[in-house]
Amino acid sequence: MTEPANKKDGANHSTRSPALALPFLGNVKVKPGVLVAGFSVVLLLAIPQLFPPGIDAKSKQNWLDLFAKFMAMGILALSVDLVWGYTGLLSLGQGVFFGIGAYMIAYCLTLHKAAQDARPKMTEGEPTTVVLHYQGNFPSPKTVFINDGKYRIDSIQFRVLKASTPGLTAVLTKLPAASLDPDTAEQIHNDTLDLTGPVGKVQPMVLKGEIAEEKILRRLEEEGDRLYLEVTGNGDRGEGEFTVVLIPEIEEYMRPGEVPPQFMQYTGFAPNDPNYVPPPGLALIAPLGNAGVAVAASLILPALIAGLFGGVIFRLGVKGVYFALVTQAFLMVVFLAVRNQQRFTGGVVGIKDMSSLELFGQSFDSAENVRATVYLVAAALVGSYFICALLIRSKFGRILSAIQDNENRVLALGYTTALYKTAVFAFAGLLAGLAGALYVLANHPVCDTVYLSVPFSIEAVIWVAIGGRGNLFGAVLGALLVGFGQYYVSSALPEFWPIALGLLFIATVLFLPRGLTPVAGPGALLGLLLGVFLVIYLEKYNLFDAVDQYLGVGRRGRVFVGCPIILLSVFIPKGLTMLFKALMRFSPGRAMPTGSVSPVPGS
Amino acid sequence: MTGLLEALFNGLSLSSILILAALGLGVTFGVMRVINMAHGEMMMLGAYLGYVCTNPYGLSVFVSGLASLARETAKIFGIHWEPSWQTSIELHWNLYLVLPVVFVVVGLAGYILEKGLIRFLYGRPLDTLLATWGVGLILQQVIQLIFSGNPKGVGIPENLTGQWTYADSRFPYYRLFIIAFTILCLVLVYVGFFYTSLGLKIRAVTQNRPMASAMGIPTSQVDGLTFAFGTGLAGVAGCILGGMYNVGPNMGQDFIVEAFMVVILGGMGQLKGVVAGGLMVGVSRGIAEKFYANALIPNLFPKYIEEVFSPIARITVLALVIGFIMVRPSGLVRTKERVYD
Repeated sequence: MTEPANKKDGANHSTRSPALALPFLGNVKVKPGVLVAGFSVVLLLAIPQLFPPGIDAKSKQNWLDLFAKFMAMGILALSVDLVWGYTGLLSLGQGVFFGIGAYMIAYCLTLHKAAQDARPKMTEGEPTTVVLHYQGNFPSPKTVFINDGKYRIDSIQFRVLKASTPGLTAVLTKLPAASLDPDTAEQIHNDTLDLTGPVGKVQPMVLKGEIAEEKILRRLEEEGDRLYLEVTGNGDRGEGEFTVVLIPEIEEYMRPGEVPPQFMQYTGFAPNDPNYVPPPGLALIAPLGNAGVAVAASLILPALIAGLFGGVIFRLGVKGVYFALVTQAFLMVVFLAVRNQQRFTGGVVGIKDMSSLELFGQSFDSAENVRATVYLVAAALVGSYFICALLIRSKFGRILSAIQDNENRVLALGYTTALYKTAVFAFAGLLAGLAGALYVLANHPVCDTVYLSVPFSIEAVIWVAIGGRGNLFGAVLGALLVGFGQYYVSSALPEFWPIALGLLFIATVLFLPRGLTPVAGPGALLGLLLGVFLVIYLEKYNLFDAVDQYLGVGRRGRVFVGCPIILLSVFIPKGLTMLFKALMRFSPGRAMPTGSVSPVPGS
Repeated sequence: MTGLLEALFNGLSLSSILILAALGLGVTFGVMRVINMAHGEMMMLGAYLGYVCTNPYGLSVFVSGLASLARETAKIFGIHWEPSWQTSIELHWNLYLVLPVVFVVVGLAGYILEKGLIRFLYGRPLDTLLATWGVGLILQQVIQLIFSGNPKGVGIPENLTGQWTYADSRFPYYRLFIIAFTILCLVLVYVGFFYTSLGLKIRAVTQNRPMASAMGIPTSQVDGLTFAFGTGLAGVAGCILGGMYNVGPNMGQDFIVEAFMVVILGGMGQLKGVVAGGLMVGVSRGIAEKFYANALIPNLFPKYIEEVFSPIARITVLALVIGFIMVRPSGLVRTKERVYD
């Protein structure tokens, strides 16, 4: 099947960027791409430090959240770019792998949350007996037992060893450790105890405990709870023995994976209920309670599924438009299944009740520890970027480009193209899974079927189209640009964002078929970051409010000032370079040979 | 047995809608190589047009919706404009009359789409996918702004509301009408393609564009008309669908993936392929629904069977179709071609 689009697609990445001689480094030649990449790495890692001083914590956290989210989207864009931009396979189903990664982490976090929230499980140990002996005129009241664990008083027996004077009664009371005032002690048995003989008489005490409040009396929960024996009246107290049978109550805290998460709790969960049957999905997701397993699953499972799916589909020769539509149908199948099987996936509502992720002794959370999350996502983005860059520069990458340009020739040269396509599809699946996992962390942990919907996957493709297909930088740029653009437009005019996005789709395809990067140069990402921070500073110093007041109705300052800044900021580095060049050319007396210094190649 | 008859019938009526939707897609995708992701939105436009024309209040809802859209748009640019557009005209047309109108109006929308956007993108099928998806997004949102997301319905004529009972099986008249109408459409399309001069020109252009052009056929006109024809059919499909299901801004999204699957399953650019594919998908879905309902929980949730098993049946059939396409990418009806790149 002829695919004329492929030939046009494969033109850009073969152009080599000229090496740039830096003025102070002598003969060391650095490629400008590497230079800009390195600079962007530094900037990405420095993002939390760049905020204006005195910015309020909430707004800073909001911005950091956005950075984390959009950088995770950048990883997804890299994965789309790898299969579409470099290999020519338009996958409209990357959302499947993104979703798998997201759900794996979401399962892990919701299992943790469920375990944290669950009441501890009580098990009863072997009964122990405490024998309390008394004799003669002990001072009353007397502590007979000081609690050293958690016990339930099962029964108390009293045995008379030597009869007392008639008229004496004994009362056993419990005094909670919190207040050791004897006046507040409460009697734990119903009847008063007759201490007069006959000798050897064994008298069981009827304990309180019929109603719920009294059951508490029979518990020794806090360490230091005391049992008091009080004998009232005058005379010879005789001699006796209390045998207290205590049943230790062992509290077992629930581990992640033992408690069904919130979205499965339709069965009603009671840890102490012997009739409890765990919901059917719990055993399936229980291993994900371990954070390491969950992270591994969110990477390996998407790669595995992508590999299997790709292996079959490429071997059978499905390509081009067919591939795009079949992946879309595959996505649809997964979407419908996930939405339908609420018992296993949370259905339309998804998974919302999550704790923060603990990994390497560090907690990653969008609420309290957003900075760690931003660093984590930034590190993952930079790492993925460099792995992708190495991949496409390797022989493997060259074969991928060759497949995009003309698969039949590659086949004729003896390469099993299906194998290469499967490999890159599986790797892209892994990247998408990573993106999904990180996105869930950054998204105030929420995970629902939106990621598996058809529009989301197409949006991921349009990020790459806008940024520039066949260009790793472009993919990340597109994701960040659309992300911040969406945030800005929809914060002021939510109902018009889909229209703006649609126009962006059309305009990109019509006017920028190769995306922004070839037009804006490799500094575009840097420019975008500058633009975003410019907007943050403008917001801090209330410029938008001033514009709003000047214009009258609504929050249009953001639309008329903020959006153009963000959207046009990608051209800042290119514009500065051109300005610099123009100044150099026109400055009198300093004739520079044109072309010797060109920080921005590929223009 | 009666259940099976009913399931077959339901599957057949679903097939009819799928065939109608896929017929237009088969023309644009199979013949012109344009992946029109806005096809679903053309169905949606047809359904809304059906609502406006058949519902007595449809037109007034539409006009006041337009006014509010204009007001909101003006507000963005800081203009205070309160258009007081209103109408009390009640269209309340009969569905039989509305269907040709829908075909013409939605076809015109398709013609504009082709002339304004798609003709710049020939030879770049994946780009047409993205651009038309953008068009779909815009259409969805504009309709949402005009009609507010509340579900609407297309009014169906009195004599189509009942049902025919035979041997304990129920056959709603409306579904019978859908099947009959689809057959009529197929005959018209067949006659149009093979017995009219426009059909001849369309076939000539799609088989060999430069040669057709050399013979004096105005290819760009033919392209526009072909696309308009395909989208018009989509509009009609949507309008008919609106008599059965809720009409909402996102209704097209639900059908587009399956419609594409039908086209690919049938084989590209073949009328009989689309029919075969549509029948296969629709009927197997009807039977799968019945099968799940009978095999899994008989009589337990009779009321919810439709809601619970419909998605599972849909998943099953989609997965089967994907499997089939993987094994045989050229579809049920193979087109003979000799292409080597």
